[in-house]
Amino acid sequence: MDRVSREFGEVEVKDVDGRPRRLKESWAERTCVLVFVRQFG
Amino acid sequence: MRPHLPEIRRLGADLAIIGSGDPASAKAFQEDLEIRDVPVFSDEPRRAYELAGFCRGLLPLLRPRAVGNYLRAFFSGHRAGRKQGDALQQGGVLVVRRDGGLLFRFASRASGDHPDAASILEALRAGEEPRICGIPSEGDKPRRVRRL
Repeated sequence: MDRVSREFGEVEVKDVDGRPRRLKESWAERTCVLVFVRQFG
Repeated sequence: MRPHLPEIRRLGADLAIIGSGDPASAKAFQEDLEIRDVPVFSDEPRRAYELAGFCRGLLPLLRPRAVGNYLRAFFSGHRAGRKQGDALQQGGVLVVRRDGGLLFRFASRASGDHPDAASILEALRAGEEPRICGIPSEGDKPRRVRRL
């Protein structure tokens, strides 16, 4: 099975309040559907 | 994807949205769509997009399929608001298990490309079996993106 890379999991993103989060937190507790949108508008 | 959120959660998964705009844009997006229970993240450097191998450039905007997608959205009543993020960056969908296993991958090749929600739900139901759609994944290697 393909896996996401460790580097991908360590990518820092910001939540809606500007707080830094690691992408891997998204699937830490359960499977996550990550939807990458082009823009927010 | 929003209509399918209850089913996604019933299958034991969750949904998160990542965009290339700033956190303020992410917050406005979350509020406008009334999805406060869905995490929305900002990846302004687009590092996650790059590592996921999602396309960036002019060509995805100019493909005939993109034009068709625009027209279909326009005549459906969708109007583009002020863009919040990198207009040249295409998106996609990843379904990632707790152990980092990739159950599903879709990379948009043209603006307006979206995976079939049924495919995502099928991947969640299948659980252990990976299903890769769109541009094939090369494992951990990000695809080289040809910049125009």
